Amino acid sequence: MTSEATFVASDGVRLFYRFDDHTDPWKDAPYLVLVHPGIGSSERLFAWIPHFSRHYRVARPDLRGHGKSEAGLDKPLTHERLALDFVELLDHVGARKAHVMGSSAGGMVAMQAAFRWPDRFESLALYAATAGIHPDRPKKGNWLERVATGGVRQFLTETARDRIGDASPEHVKWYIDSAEGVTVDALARFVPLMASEYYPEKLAQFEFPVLMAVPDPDPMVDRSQYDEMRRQLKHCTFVTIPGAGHSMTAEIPDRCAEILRNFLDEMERK
Amino acid sequence: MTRTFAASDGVKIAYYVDDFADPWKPSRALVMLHAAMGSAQRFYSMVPGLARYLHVVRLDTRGHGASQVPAPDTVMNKQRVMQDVVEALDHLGIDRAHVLGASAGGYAAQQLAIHHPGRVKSLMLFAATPGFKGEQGKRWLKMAAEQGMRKAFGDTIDERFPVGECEQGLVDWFMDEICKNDLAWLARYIGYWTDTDFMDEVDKIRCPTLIIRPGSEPIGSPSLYGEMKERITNSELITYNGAGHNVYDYLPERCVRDTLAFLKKHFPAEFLH
Repeated sequence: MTSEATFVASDGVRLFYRFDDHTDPWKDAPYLVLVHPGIGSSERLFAWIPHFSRHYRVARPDLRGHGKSEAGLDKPLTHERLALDFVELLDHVGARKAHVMGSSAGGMVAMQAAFRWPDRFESLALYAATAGIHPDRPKKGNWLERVATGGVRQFLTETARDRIGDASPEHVKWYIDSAEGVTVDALARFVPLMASEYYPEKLAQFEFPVLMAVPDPDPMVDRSQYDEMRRQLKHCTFVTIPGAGHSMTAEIPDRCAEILRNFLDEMERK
Repeated sequence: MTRTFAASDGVKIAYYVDDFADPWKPSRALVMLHAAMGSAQRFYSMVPGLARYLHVVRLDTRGHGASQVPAPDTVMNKQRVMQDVVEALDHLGIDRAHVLGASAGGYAAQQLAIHHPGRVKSLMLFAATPGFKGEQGKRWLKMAAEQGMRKAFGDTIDERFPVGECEQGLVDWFMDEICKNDLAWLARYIGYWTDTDFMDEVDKIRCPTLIIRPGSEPIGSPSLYGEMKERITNSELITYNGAGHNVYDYLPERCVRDTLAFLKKHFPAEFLH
């Protein structure tokens, strides 16, 4: 059953994660870390668990400032810090290496960790995750101003259609509820940080297999950004999902999980 | 995370919840009751296949797993183990549940369906007849008392698993798990079932019932499954040809597949997902 636990990061901030493991108890099972998107939480990825927990030990962190993790507003927020949070979680659960899935900004955090500690990655799956937020994107959408004036809920409500498409009203309500814990103050640091660097060319350094899953078209991202990443990657499996929203990992989780399962099964066969 | 509640006689009962069903849809509870000498943990391999659809609650039977071992002067009978399940449902606020029982867990499940039909939507019985009356269980307990559990159950392991065909790691783990039990409690718990046969009560079961018979069932009397099928009006019987008793341990995918197919057939509106 799902364990909920916390650990203290090296800068003193308490971070929360969920852990599911239905693997054979006598085996040394591989690890899978699922990283939720910005303005979300680990709850967003609940439906992925039964697809993986029989064969992987699955950890789902709440990024700092999200869900039940502390925001650490009195500490500097940097790519280095978020990457450290990630590897400190691996250390905490005892994973020397892991397969990693990052959804949108969760993928950016995973990439930043992979630049610094590539040997901790068995593979990386990026779902609607760009190599940093393109500098034009939040400005164009006035994200931070809108969040500051209307609050997180209203911002998500207004942009829900681009994010999870035609999901039922109950599904959309859950989607918004599961961003509970995200504050305006935390986002005012997190979003500019994600937009502070745009780094598709750095993906050329990844030696491990990478899966890119992208909505076709992504209502929030220009396709050329994904294509540039794909060109840079040495070992890339590229999958498009027609009609999916940007937050497809919460919109159509079973379909998304199946794509990752196929990718991991394929890796295992090689 | 282990959670607990106190049964009405004060014994602490542990339970575990796995739920990966869409939280915005009506919740559908499944209670899983494990075999004698087992624990909720023994269902680990079936859980992922079920929990995307169902709110899965696994109980540790009293005296097993993380549940308290009852004091020697407490009552042990079929009413008591059934009552633990009723009280778990009450504690969790579950009105009606699908109930899956493996071996002795299936005895408690049948008792629940007989005496509290309003709480049970369906029954799924894996290698579970109405009780375990006979000499076989008494022999195990005698061997375990004389030679230790590892020897007693190691010597009879081929009644449970097709050794050589299934993973040795599973068999070794199974042995380690059963050796964690309190032998004095097992003597009371299994001992009770070896004196108990409630075939004459199962006619009262009205809910859809799935009976899984291990084809080479060496534990209890194999002919009992056919009689159950005859007596339980709304039941279906599936035989796993050539299988040993512990199908729920070594054939988890097949058990999950048959469980889901059965639920979808009888509760199409609940399982459109």
